[in-house]
Amino acid sequence: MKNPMRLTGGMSIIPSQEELIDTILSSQLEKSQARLILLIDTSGQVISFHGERGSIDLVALGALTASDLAASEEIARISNLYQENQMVIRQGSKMNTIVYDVNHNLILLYIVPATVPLGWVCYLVRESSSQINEALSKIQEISGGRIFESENANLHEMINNALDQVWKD
Amino acid sequence: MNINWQLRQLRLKIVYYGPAMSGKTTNIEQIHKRIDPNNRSNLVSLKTNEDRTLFFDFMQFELGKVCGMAPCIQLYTVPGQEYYKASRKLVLRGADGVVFVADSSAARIGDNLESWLDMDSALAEMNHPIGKIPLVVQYNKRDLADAVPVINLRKSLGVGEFPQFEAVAFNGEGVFNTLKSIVNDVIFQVQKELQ
Ligand SMILES: Nc1nc2c(ncn2[C@@H]2O[C@H](COP(=O)(O)OP(=O)(O)OP(=O)(O)O)[C@@H](O)[C@H]2O)c(=O)[nH]1
Ligand SMILES: [Mg+2]
Repeated sequence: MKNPMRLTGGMSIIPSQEELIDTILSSQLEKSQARLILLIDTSGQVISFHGERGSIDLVALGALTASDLAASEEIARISNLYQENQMVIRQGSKMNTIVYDVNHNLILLYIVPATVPLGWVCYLVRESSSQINEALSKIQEISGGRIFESENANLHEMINNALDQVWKD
Repeated sequence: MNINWQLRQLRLKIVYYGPAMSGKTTNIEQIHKRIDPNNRSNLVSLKTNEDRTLFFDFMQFELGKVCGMAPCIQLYTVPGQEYYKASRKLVLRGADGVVFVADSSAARIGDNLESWLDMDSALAEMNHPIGKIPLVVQYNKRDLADAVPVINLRKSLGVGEFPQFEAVAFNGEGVFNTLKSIVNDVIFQVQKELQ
């Protein structure tokens, strides 16, 4: 993705930061031999993807990863084990999966062959997380304002038209 | 809510809430079936072996530009069964609007109310209390022989002045009107908040 992105927490990623993130994750992909690395926001929206895309449905993967972490964090909270930067590790016979809470706004997903030592992968996940946080530390707020430049009466009509257009009876 | 000012993209989350078996999943299945595949994602359903929602259903769709802004709407359903309360709260988190799907059957009046109160406290906990968050009520299963008149259903829930729709979700009736209403309300709310 090449464009700035405003995140749920009110942060914006500007193009230069996005380039930095891309560089970080490409290097991580190499070091970890990951099949794929995914960076999403807490609503599941994909911010950056590295690795073999194959036939993977990225929208579904993003939504499920975000929910997966939300459920794990809640399990931790209920059992009084909650800590910052939760890491969820799933060991498989072929692949290991790591989901990591970067900073309450961002989530990392690594899918890595089981032949790569898990401790090394966990180290790398934490490393990229702090690199990403650093890249984001110079947040630039892009100004807001009225988003729909329109009178309210027209706005209803326009929303309804847009909905009618994607709907087939 | 999530805005990308430069791309002028707006992402909104709408959650379908309501008692078990009231037709939340059916609503979203109908929407998925009727929205142009070029504009929507796949439908993700985390369900039990008996086809009951276990965690959520999810899909998103994009609208063409509205005043130069491209809204992307995410739809979620909660699991209605009583013992999935903790999961319901997770799904509700970050919602910009809610559709409450009530079951019109006379036998389900108590369940509707219980679910409504459950939603009320979950929303209050999120600092998005009823009355502040856009909310639309759908009275589903109007085809049932024991369907209670809407006016009585409304009274039994103590529902205030919310937009309301009658529906027979499994054949698509009322589904689109409900969706239109909540999308309008949510976008207007965003417009108001950002002014
Ligand atoms: N008679 C009638 N049945 C309906 C209608 N809409 C849905 N149903 C049926 O009601 C049952 C439950 O529907 P779901 O959509 O799975 O209900 P749900 O609210 O998602 O249920 P949970 O996931 O358990 O919370 C299914 O058998 C549907 O076919 C309707 O308008 N009328
Ligand atoms: Mg369901």
